Amino acid sequence: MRLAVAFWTGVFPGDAAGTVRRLKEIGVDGIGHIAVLDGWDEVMLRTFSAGMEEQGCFVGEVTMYQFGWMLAQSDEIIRQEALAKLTKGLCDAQALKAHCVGISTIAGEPGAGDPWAPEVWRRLVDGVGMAAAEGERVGMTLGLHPGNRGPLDSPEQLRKLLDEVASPRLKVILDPVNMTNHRTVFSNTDFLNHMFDLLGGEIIAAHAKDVRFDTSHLITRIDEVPLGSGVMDYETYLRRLAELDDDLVLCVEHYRDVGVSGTVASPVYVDYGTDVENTRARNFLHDTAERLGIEVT
Amino acid sequence: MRLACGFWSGVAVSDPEKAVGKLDQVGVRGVVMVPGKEGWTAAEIQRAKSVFDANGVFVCEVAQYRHGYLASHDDTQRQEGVGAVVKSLHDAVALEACCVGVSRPWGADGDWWSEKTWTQLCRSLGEIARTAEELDMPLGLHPTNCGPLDSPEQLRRCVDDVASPRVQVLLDPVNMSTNRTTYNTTDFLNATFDLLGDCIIAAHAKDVDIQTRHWVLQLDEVPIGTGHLDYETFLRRVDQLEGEIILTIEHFRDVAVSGSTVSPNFAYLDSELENARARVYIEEVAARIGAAINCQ
Repeated sequence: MRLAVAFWTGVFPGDAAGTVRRLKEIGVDGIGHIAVLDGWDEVMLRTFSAGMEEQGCFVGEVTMYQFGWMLAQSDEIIRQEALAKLTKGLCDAQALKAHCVGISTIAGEPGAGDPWAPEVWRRLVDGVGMAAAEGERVGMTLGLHPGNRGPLDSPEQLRKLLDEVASPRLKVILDPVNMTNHRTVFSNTDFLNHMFDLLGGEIIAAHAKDVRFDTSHLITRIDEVPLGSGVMDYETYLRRLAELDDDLVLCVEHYRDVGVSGTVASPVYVDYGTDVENTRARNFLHDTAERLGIEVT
Repeated sequence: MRLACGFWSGVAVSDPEKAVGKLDQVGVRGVVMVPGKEGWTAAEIQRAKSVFDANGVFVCEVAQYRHGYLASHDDTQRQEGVGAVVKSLHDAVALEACCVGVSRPWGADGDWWSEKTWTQLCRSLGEIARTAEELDMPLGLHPTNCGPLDSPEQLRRCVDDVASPRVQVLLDPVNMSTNRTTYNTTDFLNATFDLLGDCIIAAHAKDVDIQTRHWVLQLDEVPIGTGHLDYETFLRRVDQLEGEIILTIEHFRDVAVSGSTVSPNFAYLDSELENARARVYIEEVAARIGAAINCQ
């Protein structure tokens, strides 16, 4: 498998050299996420790609998570807008020589309908089917990324969508942490084995995070924590990933909602301008892989 | 339905007058009492009961939420838990309480959904049920996510497996909330009542929110009426149950006024403002849907 890192401060079109420098300092060759929606023209895409390639680096995902949920909306205008954006994103990903385009299903606040309703699912199947057809046309893979605030919240739901769309260009970006609930958090090894058994060869990429359950509450509070400090069974995770295609990209994503390398989604996000945690995570993955005799590049 | 209140600052059995004063502020007469492992002495119970009786107060629930360990794989610990619950049943009879609630900690160290854990739990409840039947005191199964009773289906299964007329359900929809149910509490509530309606003896009134800024699942308790629980459906379905169901205002968040003491950030501000507001909210919703509320 190939290792990548996501920079939640973003990646800038004119700064392939800066991106490469950070990656090399961390000790990986891949940039995990790129959002190309704003201001990346054809020249920028090709220049960035060339700059990365010259230094032996690669692009993992072109991240377009918000458009997956738009594909499931009842408003045809919203659906068409999502399809148009994804069509462009797939072409942009081609120009970047990216590994895939990631989509997710992230509903907003409750109150606007049930994201698990049958009619939402039907629209999702239709919309993803059209986007996957575009993927087939341009030769770029669409990766389904799970999350708990929408219908792609479990391995079973990912499998169901794969089967119903049935496109060779629709695959899975595995993210076990995002699918963790109060039950699976206590049996992480079984949960991992289950999802690999169910999704196996459809997994083309995966996210490296960790998770912990805050039992001080009477309701469910799950936390992201730095790799290796939570309940994720990384030996099983890496062993099962290593059984898949060598081309698979494992992306170090984020560690918590606050602080160094925390996600920008948090209103209390702070960027300390350091890759200490990314480097530690990379080393943790390498150490674990080495212990298992697994090759990570 | 009859309203009651749980005070997370606790009700000291030695100071029942304080509990009466707090209930006066809230505007309800039912109170939750939380015993220690050994329960209370006869003298303590007698004094508390006489103060409560003189002030028209009733004990809605003896909440044995601290020493149950009914699913423990360690039989010594499990038997201690059974003993604690049995003592609570006797105390509840002496207090003329409406039920004894059992909940976490279940024991079993996180192995909460295995057959072994289930067997231990049902074995304990079967033993306790004999006393509950003899005393004619209902035992209410209270769900939480940290244990085998985490969903309406698991509660139903437990009631059916133990098969005692005195092992029933203390409904707490918020504690069974998941990412999916939080987006559709109306269907969740209706499915829950359809499944458990015949065995619900009491319910807890809380509310729930989902933090949408996280990638992982973080649910919050929030003040009643400010979250996503469909209170019209909740109260309507409680009102349709047989008999006078006790609805207990429980808590509103993990931090600050009336928040749960479970939180390391708990701050007790010695005010019944939020409990009183919750009571008013419940009365308003009940009036809107024509459900009867008894605050006495």
